[in-house]
Amino acid sequence: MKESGDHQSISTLPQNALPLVIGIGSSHGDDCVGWEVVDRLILQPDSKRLGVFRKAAVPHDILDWFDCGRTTHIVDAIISNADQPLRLTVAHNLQGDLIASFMDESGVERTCGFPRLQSNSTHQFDLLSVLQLSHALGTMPAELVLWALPICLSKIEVDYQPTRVRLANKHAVLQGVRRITQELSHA
Amino acid sequence: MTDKRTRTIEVGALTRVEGEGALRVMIDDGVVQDVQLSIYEPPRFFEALLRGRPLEDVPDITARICGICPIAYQMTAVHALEQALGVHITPEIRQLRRLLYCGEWIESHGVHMHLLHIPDFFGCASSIELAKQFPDEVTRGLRLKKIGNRLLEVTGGRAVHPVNVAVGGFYRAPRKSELLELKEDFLWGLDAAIEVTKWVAGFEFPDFVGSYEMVALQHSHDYPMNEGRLVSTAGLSTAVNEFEQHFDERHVRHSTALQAVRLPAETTYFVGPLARVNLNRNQLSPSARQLADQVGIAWPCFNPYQSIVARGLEVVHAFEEALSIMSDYQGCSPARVGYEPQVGEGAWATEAPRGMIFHRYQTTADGRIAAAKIVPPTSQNQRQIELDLAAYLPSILHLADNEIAGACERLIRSYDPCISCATHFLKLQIERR
Repeated sequence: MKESGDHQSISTLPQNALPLVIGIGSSHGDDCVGWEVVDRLILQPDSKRLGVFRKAAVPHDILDWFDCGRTTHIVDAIISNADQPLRLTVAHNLQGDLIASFMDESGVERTCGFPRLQSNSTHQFDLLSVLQLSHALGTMPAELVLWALPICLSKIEVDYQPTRVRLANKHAVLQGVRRITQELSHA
Repeated sequence: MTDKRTRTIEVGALTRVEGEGALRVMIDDGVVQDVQLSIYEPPRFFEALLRGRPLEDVPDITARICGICPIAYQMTAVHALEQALGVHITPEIRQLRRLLYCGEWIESHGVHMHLLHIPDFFGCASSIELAKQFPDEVTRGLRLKKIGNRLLEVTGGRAVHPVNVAVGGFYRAPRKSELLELKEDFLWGLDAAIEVTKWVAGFEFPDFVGSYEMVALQHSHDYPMNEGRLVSTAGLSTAVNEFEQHFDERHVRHSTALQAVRLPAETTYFVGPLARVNLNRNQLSPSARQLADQVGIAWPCFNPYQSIVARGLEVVHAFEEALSIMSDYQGCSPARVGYEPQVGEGAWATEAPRGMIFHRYQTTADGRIAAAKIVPPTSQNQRQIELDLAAYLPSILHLADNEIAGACERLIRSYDPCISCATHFLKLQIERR
């Protein structure tokens, strides 16, 4: 096999579950941030003590890995001018709708309806749909964190300036790895 | 709304299909004049991208054409290249390839049935709505899909875009113990797939029967996956390397995907699970064969909506065949047959979850690709879907525009089109004059 297992088998893990970290995307262009974060987290010397790592190309594959009892982090990039990764905690309100909580710039916790994701999925079952389906089936992890890593690029830059995309990706990946490592280390 | 005026109906994007496309319907004085299934995803030029690349890269590059059916691309590519190189694989490699294909059929059919198609039969807008009505059934479907993915991980190296398929065999054969670990899940899966098939066979299907030429591979003693002759319900029986004598592709203005036609009359044809079951029912595994006789369908079946039953039968077959291969498996050594690069040409067809897929390659003396041709199943079904819609629409023109759009989407979904593969789907625009 040409590539060593970049996925750890969840079925072999003890039930006192380590956090699960899922990078979403592919190995291409501005889509690669989620996977690169996972790749770098796996390379850390203590990665096996930090968590279990997975890469998803098709969002519904996440459903295979959700475990109600396991804190789960989902990592993806967003096109944004924000200078820091956005950490969203996904839950549901009394009406059963998905909501996301986050700290604003002044450190105040805010809650909003689950952001409508601008999905580019070619398979018509995007991350929001995956989370809604999981919620409907009662398989959502008790603690689900969505890391939105900002890439400050225009559409034209994304489409036509690969060097700028690589630089922006690298910045987002390094920020993501630092923040997620901090959180996993203190879990 | 009246029949005698221009009427335009648009659907922003076809939902619950793999990929992005649009549908434009032109109605003049209450008569359907034209139906255009537009595939507007940009062309991806995979054939051109392969030219000049080492032939070893082909299975990994073609796998990227689709995240749902990468095995179909890999299998067709390696067989075609092995033909070009004069490579003969061992019976053990053949069985391991069939096992890998079983994993893809289970995963792909499981996703299509439970997340995309079954919601139609209950008036649900999505599988999320379906899950609220039928949580146990959706959970069961997701578990089936998960088991298919596990098999892909074990035999293919990973579930999405597997990396273990090589020209000549596999980079690494799984250990027997790795396959045996899957056995309990597969025993559960076989029973579950039978229950799913019984469930979907009981759905209410629209009374719509087409006069199709159905095309599939046919093998002397196995249900068609990796090899066979090209046969049809109209009597075609030909070797795969004569594909171009019987089929061709056409450019149409409204689609970035080519549309395949049957030669010489440039007629349409139908590929997919329903074609396979119609033409190969006797080759189904014992449980699937028995179930086919019990589901209340008179075979051969020409109602495209009942493709979902054929998909269920194929999931049963895939679980049963996978169990048989796992039980007999004693390892696979060598995992790969060697070869010397040479000038050659090879053509092959296999059965993707969505239907027959054809590849042809020419190789150079230094082991590179000189020419490549890839004909995916959705481009073969595309024109047939348009004709189905044209035949179906008159019976629903009295409905409101949004109801017509929904009905068109349901018919299209029964084909499980993969538009990403075909561009190589759906906005609906109905124009009434």
